[in-house]
Amino acid sequence: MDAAAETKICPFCAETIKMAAKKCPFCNSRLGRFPIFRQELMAGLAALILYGSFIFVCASVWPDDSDGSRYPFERHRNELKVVNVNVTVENQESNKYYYAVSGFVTNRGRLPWRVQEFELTVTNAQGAPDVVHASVANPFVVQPGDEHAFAFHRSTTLTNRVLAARARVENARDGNAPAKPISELP
Amino acid sequence: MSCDKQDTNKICRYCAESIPAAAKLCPRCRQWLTFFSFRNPIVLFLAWSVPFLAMFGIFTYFAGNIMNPSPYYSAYKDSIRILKSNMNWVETSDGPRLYVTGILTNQSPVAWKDPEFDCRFFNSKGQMIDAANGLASLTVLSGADSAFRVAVKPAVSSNDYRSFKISVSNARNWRTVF
Repeated sequence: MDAAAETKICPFCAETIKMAAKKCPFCNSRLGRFPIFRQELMAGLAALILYGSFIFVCASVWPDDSDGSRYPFERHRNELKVVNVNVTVENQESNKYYYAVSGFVTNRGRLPWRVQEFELTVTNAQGAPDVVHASVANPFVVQPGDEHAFAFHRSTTLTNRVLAARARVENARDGNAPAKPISELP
Repeated sequence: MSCDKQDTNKICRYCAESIPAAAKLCPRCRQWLTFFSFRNPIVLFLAWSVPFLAMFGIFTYFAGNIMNPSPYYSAYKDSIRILKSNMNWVETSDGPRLYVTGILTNQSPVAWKDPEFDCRFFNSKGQMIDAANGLASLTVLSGADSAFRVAVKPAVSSNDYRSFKISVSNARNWRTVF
């Protein structure tokens, strides 16, 4: 009874209030150095769990979609095979040499893929393997069960005759995803 | 009367004043004493978060469908057929071009736009000397046909281009917004 009868002055409204008060009954100000109540901590925790689980659900429903793809290519790399790779060294201008590369990409999987980059291993008459990563200027789509032809030039400093070449698709993205707009040639 | 009131009273946890025992909200300091009540503004905020988050998720899902609506061409592949096509060597102000022109027809119930073509070029020995991913901006409605022209930058000299093969490798659903 004595303890309840002890009073203090509210620092905000200067009314006489109970000593045990954490909140002023007159001006509703919170008293104390860190005026956060337990139910607010509980609510903060609940909000953290709620929003955190929402982000987790979103991240699992929509996996890495940074490039518009729904499927990571790494798991499907073996479905794309580059066949009939033909590489020759051409000299179009003086001291400018090119790999003229052509071939076909076949798709044995069930998803369409837009081929973005090739990894090319070329063995020339010197016997030195040359590894070239060539990004496709105008990425094309290989539909499931289909094949698509490609041909491109890639500058090189090696002038020897090419003995052997093989290639694989280094990177591709979901063929159904919207592509970067490339304007048609005039 | 005063004895009754004393029995049914409690001390508020926050302001230490004597308030009715059944109070969920302190009448003196206006502090909510019960956490699990939908009138508690904190709980009300959390409760409203759930439908808002769900609406946000549903909106994002449908917005994605508007940007890239299904069905996709992969489900209707080979439905755009090329009826006839010609190849011509053209000198333009931007240099030499191979113009592949022709007529394509859409045999699917879906309207397509912006087809991509798998163009292959062969020399007199039948070897593939060049290939290109041809683009054309056009719309071909369901059951309709459309003329097209694909411009390809040639890689070798004009005499080497003897024959060609062209097929449609991809197209976009006509309802695609962008």
